[in-house]
Amino acid sequence: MTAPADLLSPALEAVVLRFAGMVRAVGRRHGLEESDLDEVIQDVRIRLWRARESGERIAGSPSSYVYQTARSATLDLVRRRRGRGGRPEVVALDPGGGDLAGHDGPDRAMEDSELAEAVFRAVEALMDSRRRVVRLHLLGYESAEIAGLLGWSGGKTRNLLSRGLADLRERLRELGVGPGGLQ
Amino acid sequence: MSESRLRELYLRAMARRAPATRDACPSPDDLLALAEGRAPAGRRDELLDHVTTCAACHGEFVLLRTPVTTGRAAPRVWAWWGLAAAAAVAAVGAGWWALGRGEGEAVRGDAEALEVVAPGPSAPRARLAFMWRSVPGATGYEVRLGAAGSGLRSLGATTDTAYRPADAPAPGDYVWIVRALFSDGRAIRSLPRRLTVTP
Repeated sequence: MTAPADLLSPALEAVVLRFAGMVRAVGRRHGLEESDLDEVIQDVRIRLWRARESGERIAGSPSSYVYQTARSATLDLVRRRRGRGGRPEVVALDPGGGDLAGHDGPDRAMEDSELAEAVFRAVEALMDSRRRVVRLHLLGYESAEIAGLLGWSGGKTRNLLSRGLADLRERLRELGVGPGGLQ
Repeated sequence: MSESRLRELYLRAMARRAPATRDACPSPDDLLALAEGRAPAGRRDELLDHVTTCAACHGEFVLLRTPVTTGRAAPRVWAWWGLAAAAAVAAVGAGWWALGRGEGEAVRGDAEALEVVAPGPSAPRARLAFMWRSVPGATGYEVRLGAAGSGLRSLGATTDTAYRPADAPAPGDYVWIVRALFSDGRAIRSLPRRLTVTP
């Protein structure tokens, strides 16, 4: 195999590589499919290459250019998926190595299914502000990210998250879900 | 019950509730507005309520948010967005020359075929470069090229998704393909494309 072709300037290629590394890190944290990330990263390179070939000058801030290109590439990927009727893979965070499929037989699977519904219903029953922050927390977002998404201060976010999680555990106890599962 | 277990169960319930159709889901543009913090407060809450209960939309939201997350430290120069959009429009114009199928190698349907990006129907010799979209699982790629009416020969190989030949072919009319190679010996290839190399 030969070395990769030098199609972008070294400076721009370096930015693309750095961006690719960051995208993969974020993508892995949120359980995104590698193929999705590959598609976005490759699309970014293609668009940059096309811009260069068409004589566009990527000057000033190559980082900004790369990120804006990534933004449009990602949006187009989602649109293409929708157009094809495709459904993205379920985003499964893996905060503790949990296995969503379960391998302990049908009884365990049934219990997990019931537990999952119980957790979902318990979250649904939380008051609005606490429900949103708890949902985001359960989906793996950190406090700072949640604060940004909700437009809240860090203190408010941490406070409502703490109260929301306490409420959630209380509701689960009421539903008969204890530390070990259904009771 | 640990938090990781709570998360696992919440995700499981969310996946089970995935909608049969996406008709009621927010548009990709709405999801992007949410990801970028541009959604008005009331709409933002509606969108978050949906995204955090719909596995399909959450997957898209995470994807759309990835550049925002990774680009947070970078200064935003929105003027460049116009250039990126122009490049995207140009990409739509890429054409296909379907000249037939090879022997013994898979050429999938258009939606899944190894998709070639460049060059177009003609390219100057000094700037000749080949680009294609990555194929999941491929361990390398081979560009094959031949004069019109003759067989294809290997022009070069790479693990990248772009290749610029060190010794570009002389001006003339050619046909070329790119093959994606897999570790188990399989290969798939693009549809053949015509190429006129100009001086």
